[in-house]
Amino acid sequence: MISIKNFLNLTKESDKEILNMKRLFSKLKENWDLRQEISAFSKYLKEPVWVMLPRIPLEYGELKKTEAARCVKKAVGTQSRFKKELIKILRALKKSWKNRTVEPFQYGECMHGLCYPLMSDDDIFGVIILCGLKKAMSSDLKKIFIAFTDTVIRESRREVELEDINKTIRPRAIALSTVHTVHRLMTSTLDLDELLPRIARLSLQVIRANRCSIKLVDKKRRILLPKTTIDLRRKKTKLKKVQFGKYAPGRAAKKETPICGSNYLAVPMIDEDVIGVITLYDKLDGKEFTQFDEEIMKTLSEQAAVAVRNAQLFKEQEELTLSSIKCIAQLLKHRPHGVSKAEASFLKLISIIGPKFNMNESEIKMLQYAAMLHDAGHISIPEKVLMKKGGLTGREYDIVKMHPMKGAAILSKFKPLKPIVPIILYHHENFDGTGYPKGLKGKEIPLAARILAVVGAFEAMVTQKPYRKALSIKTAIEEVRKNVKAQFDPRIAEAFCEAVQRKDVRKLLEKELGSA
Amino acid sequence: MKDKLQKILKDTLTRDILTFFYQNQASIDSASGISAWVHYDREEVQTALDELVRFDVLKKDSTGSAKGYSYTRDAKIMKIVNELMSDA
Repeated sequence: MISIKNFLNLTKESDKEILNMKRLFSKLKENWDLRQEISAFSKYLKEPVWVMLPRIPLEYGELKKTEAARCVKKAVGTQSRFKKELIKILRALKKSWKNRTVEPFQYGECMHGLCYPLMSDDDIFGVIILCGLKKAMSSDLKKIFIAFTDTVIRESRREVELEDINKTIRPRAIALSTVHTVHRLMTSTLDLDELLPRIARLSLQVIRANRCSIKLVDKKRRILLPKTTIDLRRKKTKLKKVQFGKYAPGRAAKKETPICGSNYLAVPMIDEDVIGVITLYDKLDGKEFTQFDEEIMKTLSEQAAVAVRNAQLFKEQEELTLSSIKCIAQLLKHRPHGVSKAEASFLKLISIIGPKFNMNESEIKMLQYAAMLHDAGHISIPEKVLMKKGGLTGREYDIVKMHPMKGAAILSKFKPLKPIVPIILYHHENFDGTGYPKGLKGKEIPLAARILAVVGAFEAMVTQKPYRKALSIKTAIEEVRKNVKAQFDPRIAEAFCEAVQRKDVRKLLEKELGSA
Repeated sequence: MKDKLQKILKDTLTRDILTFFYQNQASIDSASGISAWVHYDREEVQTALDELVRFDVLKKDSTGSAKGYSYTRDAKIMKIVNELMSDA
């Protein structure tokens, strides 16, 4: 006799497969169509007894415990007859298992039944025993029964497969979507000061940890410099330098591989060379960092490395632009009244006024650059005209009026400064249309140029010229007020007057101009 | 807080979104991504997400056009959500 164990060994090789078969059996039992099938057949066959078992009972002892045995007992009465009839059913079960088809049986005086192995491909994962039939099932009905049952099995198998896909693919798809969103969030800023805390926050979120610190490599000194730390449990955190090879971040940087401990995970950011290390500490649930955490952080650190590198390159480019501007400004300094000595004050004024007119950070920066270079066109004006103490002749004034165009033409050659060209070009336009070079009016003049018109005029007034002394701050503000509507945009002039009277601005102005 | 949350969770979509984040606490996703996971229209999802952000159950990371929603890290709120999810 084949034991259950052997039967299972013959049909299934691993525990996992056995588990899958059990799952398929449970799914089948819950299947709505199967219930419909049972209901339809039950009506037609006058309420027989349906028994579904997760495996074929091939031993008497096991069959004896089933509902089918109770059904037989009810039909035959005596114990000796019962055993005999049950062995008949057992034979039918073995035959059905061997032949993998419906096997009818008879018991008692005139009771009938059948058994049908539940199969998925060649694997048997259970059996349906139908007993209590008053007559044997016709071959046509058997065919219908087999077709119905097989269809329901296929359907249940698909359900199990879908469940498996859901269990395996869905979490990965969700993780992939997370990685994609994190990538978008990381790459949408080029400001390193904004980027690093964001990487730390996103890492904390994805790994569900309590603390994240990001250190960047100082190649010359072979140390890691702390740049940002976020600790969900503490407000203040210490930022420590770490040498290559020391502690988890140092080891991760030296070995260029993640270093994982029970409560920390240090992952290097590599862009050709190691550029930094992201270290996470203490998971929210108190558990250890896993292989999955390491894999996710490796992907995330690759993206972070690209984002950090881009931000560093952008910063370098900005520094290059700024030094070029400073270089041009330095050249202008050698021209008469080329650059104001109160440069910091005017840049501050712009940073206060700009946001009031919804200018973004980059627009404000460009306006500041424009402020530093707004009179770059003076380079084309002969020194004797710039230094002239008396009034200008018509021809000389025409030369002076050319300076916005000349300045715009010079700066347009320098690509990073393209956005400031219109500001330079129109900063001498008047709000009422009487300015130069184009005679633009009101909002035809770009906003930044209207702001620079006010700040630039104020700057000219408080700066000493060859033909007049510098005006006091107070007088210059009054002059701005006098020229509202004609020369300046009233809203901007108002914002300027508010800003220039702020204590911090006033203090800086007085310090730079050396007077009140 | 629990009462207020219970109230907004009467809405099936809001409940489905919170269930998604409760089951996938490490997820960060956009409104479009979440609408794919919960099988609802993106605009409806956006409204429900904003509501959950308002209650600090979700966090919103936003930069330029990129927006990412993620599950809270606030221990008190997490505890309340745990209770609500176990009750359900």
